[in-house]
Amino acid sequence: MQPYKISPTSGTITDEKIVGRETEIAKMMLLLEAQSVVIEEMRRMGKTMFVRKLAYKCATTNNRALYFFLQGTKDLVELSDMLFAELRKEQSHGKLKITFEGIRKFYNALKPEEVNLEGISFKLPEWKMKWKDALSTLLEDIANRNNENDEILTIILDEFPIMLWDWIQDGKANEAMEFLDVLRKQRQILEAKGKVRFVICGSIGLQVVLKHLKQKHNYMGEPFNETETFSLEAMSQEDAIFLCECLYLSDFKVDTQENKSQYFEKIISLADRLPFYINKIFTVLQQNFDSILTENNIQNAFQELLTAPNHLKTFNHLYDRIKIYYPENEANIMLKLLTYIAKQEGVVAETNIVQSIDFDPILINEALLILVSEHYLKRSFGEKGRVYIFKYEIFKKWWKLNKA
Amino acid sequence: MVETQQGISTFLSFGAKSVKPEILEELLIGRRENVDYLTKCVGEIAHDALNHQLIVVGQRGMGKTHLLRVLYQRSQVFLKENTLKIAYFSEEEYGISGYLDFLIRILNAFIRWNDEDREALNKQMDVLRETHASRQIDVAEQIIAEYIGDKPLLILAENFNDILEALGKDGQGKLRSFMYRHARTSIIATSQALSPDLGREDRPFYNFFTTIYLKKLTYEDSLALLRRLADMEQQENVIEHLKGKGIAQVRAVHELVKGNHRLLVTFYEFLKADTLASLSKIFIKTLNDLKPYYETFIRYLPPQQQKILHYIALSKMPQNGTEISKNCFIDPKSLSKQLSELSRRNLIDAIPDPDDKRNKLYDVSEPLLRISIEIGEHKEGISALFIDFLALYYSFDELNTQRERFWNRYNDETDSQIKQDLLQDIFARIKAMDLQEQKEGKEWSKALKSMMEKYYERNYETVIKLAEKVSEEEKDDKYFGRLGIAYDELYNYPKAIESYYKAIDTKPNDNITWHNLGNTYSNLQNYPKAIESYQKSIEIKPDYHSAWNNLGRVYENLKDYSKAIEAYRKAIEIKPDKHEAWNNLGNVYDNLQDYPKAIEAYRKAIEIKPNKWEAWNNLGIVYEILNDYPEAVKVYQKAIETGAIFIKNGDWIPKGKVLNKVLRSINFILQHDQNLNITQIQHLESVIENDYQMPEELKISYKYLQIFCRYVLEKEEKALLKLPKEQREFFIREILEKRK
Repeated sequence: MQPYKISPTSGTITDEKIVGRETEIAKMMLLLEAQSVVIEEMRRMGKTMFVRKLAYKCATTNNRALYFFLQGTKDLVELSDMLFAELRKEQSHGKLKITFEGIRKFYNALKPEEVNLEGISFKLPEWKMKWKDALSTLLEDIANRNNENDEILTIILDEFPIMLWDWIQDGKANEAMEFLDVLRKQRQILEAKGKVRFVICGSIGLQVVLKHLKQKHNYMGEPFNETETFSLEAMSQEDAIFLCECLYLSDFKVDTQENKSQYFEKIISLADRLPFYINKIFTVLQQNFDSILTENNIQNAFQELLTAPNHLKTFNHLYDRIKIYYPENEANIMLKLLTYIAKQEGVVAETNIVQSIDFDPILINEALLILVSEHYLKRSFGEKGRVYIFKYEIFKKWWKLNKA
Repeated sequence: MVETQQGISTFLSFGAKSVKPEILEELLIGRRENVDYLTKCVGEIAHDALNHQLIVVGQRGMGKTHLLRVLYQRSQVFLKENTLKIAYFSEEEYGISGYLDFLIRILNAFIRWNDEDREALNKQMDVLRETHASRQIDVAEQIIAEYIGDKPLLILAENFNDILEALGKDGQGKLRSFMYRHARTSIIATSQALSPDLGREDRPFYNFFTTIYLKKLTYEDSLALLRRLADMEQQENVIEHLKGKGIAQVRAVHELVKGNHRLLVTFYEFLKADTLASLSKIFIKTLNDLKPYYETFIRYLPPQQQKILHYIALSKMPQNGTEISKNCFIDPKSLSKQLSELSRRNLIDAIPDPDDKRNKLYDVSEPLLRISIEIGEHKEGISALFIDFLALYYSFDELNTQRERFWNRYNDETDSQIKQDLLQDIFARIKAMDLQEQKEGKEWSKALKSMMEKYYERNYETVIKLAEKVSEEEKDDKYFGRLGIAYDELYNYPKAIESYYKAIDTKPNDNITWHNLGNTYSNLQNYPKAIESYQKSIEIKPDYHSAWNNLGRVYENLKDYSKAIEAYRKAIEIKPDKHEAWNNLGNVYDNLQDYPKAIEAYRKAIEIKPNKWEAWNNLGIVYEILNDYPEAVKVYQKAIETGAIFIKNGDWIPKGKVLNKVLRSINFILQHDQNLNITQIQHLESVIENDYQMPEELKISYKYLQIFCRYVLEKEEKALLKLPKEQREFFIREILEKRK
């Protein structure tokens, strides 16, 4: 494939220009044949780009995928309306085969004068108490869709956990729990009958939300217990090189053409093949180094990214997410562990950690596991038993420079 | 385009809004690279199916509005070829209170800037207004979606920080969701600081935008901008000035305004100003105009941040955390949070402490903000920044010359308001000279600073009290010199002399100290010592005319008239418009009974300074001696008129002395003006009433004028009886009899 021009960005990009991830998408599609999938990764790992490309790619097959960005959706009524509006739009394009018979009848029962599908909205006062029935009916309609070609309909719910988290923070924990229950009840029917799959995507773990609901509101449901978890790792070397090629077309220059691939490799290596940070290095090169790629410029741009006050927030999620989503005592241990490990060379044995950090070894072990599941750390087993290392060197460098 | 487009004067007065695009293009100095880059981005949005999410961050006055305005203008080409839709929020976005408002703002921008679509869009807006509130967001999004169709949408917005704040977490989420559903939406916005929401990991736009920080203008940019302004305004004198001496001045100004566009444009006015008085006036006026804006701005900051800003601004130099914490009474933990918030808002800069790299020093980042706080705090109305400006802009000698010039003008001036302004100008120069000296040497201690501040306020008692607190090392010639003046002003002459000698010990060749010492000896009537001191001053600076003039007075007191004449003539030779010396010379010739020369000298003084009351009075006496009563009457009339002004403004001759002479002049006119009529009397009455405001000393004269009018001119016999007996007898004896 020929490289095409893209500009260094941390914002949006049109679906057809999203670079790489073909292998991951193929793997994802395979997973979706069988079940719904949960993707949990911290911010700026490229989840949204990935799932949008997934939706885009699905459209080129028999299958269909609908993408919803849920952060900012403040309640169930809004959510139901958004789902319905998008489904209706897709239906009008002839891409879905949902009859909406159920919802039509349900709606007309309450508002007899409305017969037109276009006029249906749940955002009216009289629907306030009926959301559960409306949503259930809508999901039933989806399940009952005519899928004679056996195509898969994937509903991608991006930032689903953070939407629930915000509801909880706004005192709407009951609404969150009721919604999870509806999903739990309907999901299996939807998956079996309508071949509907969900991709639950979020920068905070769904488990964090469920754990919170369990601890504070006694919620015992497991709405996604049969789903597969998908981990979005760094880009492949090939994809990362291609990304650099595309970015390079945005008027970047090299001292000599022969050095170009060497520079790309350096950028990729410094950015740990994470697309967001590859973009960031290109941005700094563009803004402060006249868009010229040299060994020195790349190194200095990277250093600036790690240390300059202007870029202070670029990595801040590494610190903030622990403070925001974990109870203070757990967060304190996690922060201390990261600081300790950041200061060590190579892998660090758990036994050494326990000796060096003044916390209960059980709590330390639990915290280390969370950090692994949150993708801060990698765990392996060596001569000294369990050993840990930062999953990405770039995060270790930042933590050591700014937090340790 | 709906707005009326204005010229360069609008730019100078109000900034970039509503100024002709070609003028804005011309003035893109220091920002051209940014605008070119943004223009390229817009081109990519329109032609290459790319999106750009950019925030341009810069402090107030750094040209953000200007930049966006030019960008919009340059983007017209894409609008015309219909490859792009733009929603340009050209005004400050005060009206956005949520996501719906944001959408409406987009629609309003379409309506405002696109004449051909206005009608259709207005109809859609009517539909939106009729829609139930719960559905309005959906409908507004739908109208926008239909309007943009398959074209990319570019939102150009100012103060994006405020917009994000108004949107809140939910609104931001909705906007981001909209940007996914309409995947060809781009935002290019400006902001004074990055919203905290862009740096919070749980917020929808965390790390979403690429940030471009506007750089401060370089010195070369500053010079180029000022030259361009002068060119465009065809200010030939400024253009010439900027080829020579002006270059160094621009460097000084550049250092002061810290590369701030708007403030630099303000300083452009200085270059146009041709008199020194107008320089300070323009400066103060500009700053006063800015003050309410900043006051409003500061008012909305949390109180602790207000305190910190005030403290740092008034400290004038970067402060460390410990000092801030101690002086603002904020505990270190809260302080750290507040400092970090102020840094984030770009209100303060954190600078590594050169003495200890682990620590930071904090300084107010915006010169405009610092000035506005200073204005609020400076009771005397002289902004410290104006002093900084003078100290950088002029050499020490230039400042000294200015000071003397202002001092002379102060002495000549009769209008009290102008006198007050001139006094401020004088003190501004003295302070600027002090500042230059401080910059050359070490910093002044707090005690010395406070003492000098009180000196500028002419609070001499406090000067003397504070002087005791100054450490021995800091007691230099300036310290002793000012202390001497303080003692002299409080009539403690022995202490004044002691201080002056100490100043001389430190700096023997200071002509001003020797001159001041001469004045003190003169006050003590120790004339030999006074002569010695003045001569020493003259020896150091032979063209020091004040010393020559005062030396003449001492000789005059010693009745050594030839030497007095010689000294006065020398003062006049150095400074031909030195009216004091002319008046004094007249007195000497009067004493020598050389009346023609006396008249000539007094007339010369009056010619230089028409309101010189003493000269009018002295001249009247000469004519009286010469029995030229008609001329004496005319001259006394002027003495009465100018005397009033003198009483109001003169502060070193006892008021009673002047009033007695005025009273004598009135009596002389009543006695000797044979043509005195009602109009003349009414005029004199109004002078006493309005100008003197009827002091006790003149009330009797006023009554005599009234009685004269009724009794002499209107022949009202009984009028005399309106006077008490002793006054009646005086009136008959001294006025009526003498008229005969």
